[in-house]
Amino acid sequence: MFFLCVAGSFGELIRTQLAVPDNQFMDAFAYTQTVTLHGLLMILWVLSPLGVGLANYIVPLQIGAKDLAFPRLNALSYFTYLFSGVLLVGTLFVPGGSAATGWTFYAPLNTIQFSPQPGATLAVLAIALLAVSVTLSSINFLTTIARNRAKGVTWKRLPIFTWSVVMTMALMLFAFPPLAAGTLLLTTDRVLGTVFFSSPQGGSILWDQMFWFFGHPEVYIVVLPAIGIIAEVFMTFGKRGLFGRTAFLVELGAVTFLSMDVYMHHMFTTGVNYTLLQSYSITTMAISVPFEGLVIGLVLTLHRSRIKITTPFLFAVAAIFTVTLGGVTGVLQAFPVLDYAFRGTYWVVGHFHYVMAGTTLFGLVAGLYYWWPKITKRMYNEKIGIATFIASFVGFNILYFPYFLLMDMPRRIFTYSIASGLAPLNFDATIGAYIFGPAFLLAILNLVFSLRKKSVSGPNPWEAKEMEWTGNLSTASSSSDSASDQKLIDSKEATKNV
Amino acid sequence: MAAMVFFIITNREKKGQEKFIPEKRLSRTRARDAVIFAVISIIILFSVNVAGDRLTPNARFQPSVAESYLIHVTAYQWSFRFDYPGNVSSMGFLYVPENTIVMFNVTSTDVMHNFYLMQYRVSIDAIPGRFNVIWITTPALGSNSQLNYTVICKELCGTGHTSMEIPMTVMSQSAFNQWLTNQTATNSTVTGG
Repeated sequence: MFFLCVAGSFGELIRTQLAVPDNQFMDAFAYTQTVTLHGLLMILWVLSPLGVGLANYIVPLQIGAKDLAFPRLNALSYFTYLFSGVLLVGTLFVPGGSAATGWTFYAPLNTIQFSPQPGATLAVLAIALLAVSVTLSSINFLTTIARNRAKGVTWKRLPIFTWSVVMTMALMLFAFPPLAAGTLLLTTDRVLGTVFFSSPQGGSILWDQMFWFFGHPEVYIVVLPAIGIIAEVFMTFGKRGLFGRTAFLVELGAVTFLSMDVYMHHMFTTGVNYTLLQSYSITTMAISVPFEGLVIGLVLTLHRSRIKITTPFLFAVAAIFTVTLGGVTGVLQAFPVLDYAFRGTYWVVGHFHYVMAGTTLFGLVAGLYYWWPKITKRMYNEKIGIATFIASFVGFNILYFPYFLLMDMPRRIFTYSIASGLAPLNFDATIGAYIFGPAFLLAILNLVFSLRKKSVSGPNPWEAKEMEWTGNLSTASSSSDSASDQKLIDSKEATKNV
Repeated sequence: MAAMVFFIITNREKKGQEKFIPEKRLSRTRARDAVIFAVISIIILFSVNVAGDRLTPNARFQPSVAESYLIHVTAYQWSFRFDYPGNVSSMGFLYVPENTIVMFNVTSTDVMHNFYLMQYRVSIDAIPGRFNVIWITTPALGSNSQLNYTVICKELCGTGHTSMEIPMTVMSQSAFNQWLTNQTATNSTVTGG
């Protein structure tokens, strides 16, 4: 089941990769639908589940629990997620097409008046279902981590990845209800004819508020597990502990807390008054301080360490690289005046792809590579791993860096004229996409093909110190019953992967 | 932050040379360092913010209606309509007089749009039921007879979003007034005002 969870998010990932076509050969409606589904799938059905999937497998091992606290709830959450994902992709085949509003579903474009297709209603329903799934999951994880730790695994000794999952889940618990409420209200609007979002008296702003109260924490929901993974990877391959662990955890907490106070920066151009705008500008800058601290902590973890260059390590380094670039460009947008200019252009697209596709995806893939020998007992091909890493990192930058230079190109336009002068950079980005996509697919196939290999990697190929590898509670004070729990899991795994 | 990329690269190369068996040799972190780091970055950020604020006073202080030329902007799927003082309107193009503070009062009749003056890099959302205001100061024409700018919609507003791009022309005061009077004349003859 746990393995399925990872594999499921995995399949979703590949499918989504396939579902993102190039933008030239479609008409505006097809293009907008694609943009919408690309955004929705990538953020809600790929990035967060990938993190949650890894957490599902690793967290119980890291805290010495047999399983999550409520296995059936976990299954329910998983199948709700799977169903909602299938439903969302299915909306493409509904007559009239799927939602074409962008993943932000801005009101009143999302109402029945302007998007009459039933596919859009179903897409909204899929999001609502996902919110259910996420809520179940977050309850499950928080309970597990709070109640099912093995003896000796105190909060203080909790591994960094588990801490990052705690923060993520807490955020999910707070951030998703507005989304759930918003999508339900939208559904009643669309099905029962209410006027929450279609009313000209501010329905538009209401949706903005509800959506972004979820939307901004969501960024941190996907990025925090990645940060936790990067920390684990750096520690293992640098053969040292985390630089400033306590500070790191405090910063993690600060980021989590602040991430719920910054969402208004998505609404700088909606005509909110300047004082409010300034205050959100300040919180946005404030969040960059602990986040910067996290990055510095990670970077300094490499200081005086002994680094073994492996694929997961390289992906983690790439994630740090992209978070730096994505972060700097993000802070710039905290300044309202610059935001007026950048908002809705490819500059923003570049920024969040650096954070989402760069940091989060690279970080999560680092985790996938890192824990792959643990999960499957197989070792991937290191040379191919490094080669695909280089190709995807180069491709990534060719793809997304031009976006920063394309700041005169508005988002979500399906074509542009030659006269606009946007063509060369766009062409460059497309080349990058053709490098990045296949390279990334290969990186993942590398893992998949390792399943067919007979060579079984040892229980701890990285010589890591964390508990999920050592398989005993040596880091904690080992008590007999929790040690047996640990063995139980190992034998279960072994049978699962025969 | 850019210096940090540097950090990563230098640190990584150093370590690549000596990869050996695990050995914990940690440098101690001090809380003081962390605080210093935080304070430095806070100072940098806020000084940039204050500087930005100083450099762009136009963003904060809304000019009075009296000293500016007010144009009502109505975005719709998929173009803009401009209503000038004196019951004159234009659809799909915008004329503004030179050397003037032009204030735009922006709204929308259907979905959410965004009114973006591309070369000025200022934008404001056009939201149904709400009126948002932005303003620019048009340049003096000098030797040019007119200057051309672009206005686009930056918020996805449906399938015609891409085509929502219209020209803005800065004209001399006299040409602009001439155009206004012509329009008023045709309005009264064609539609009866």
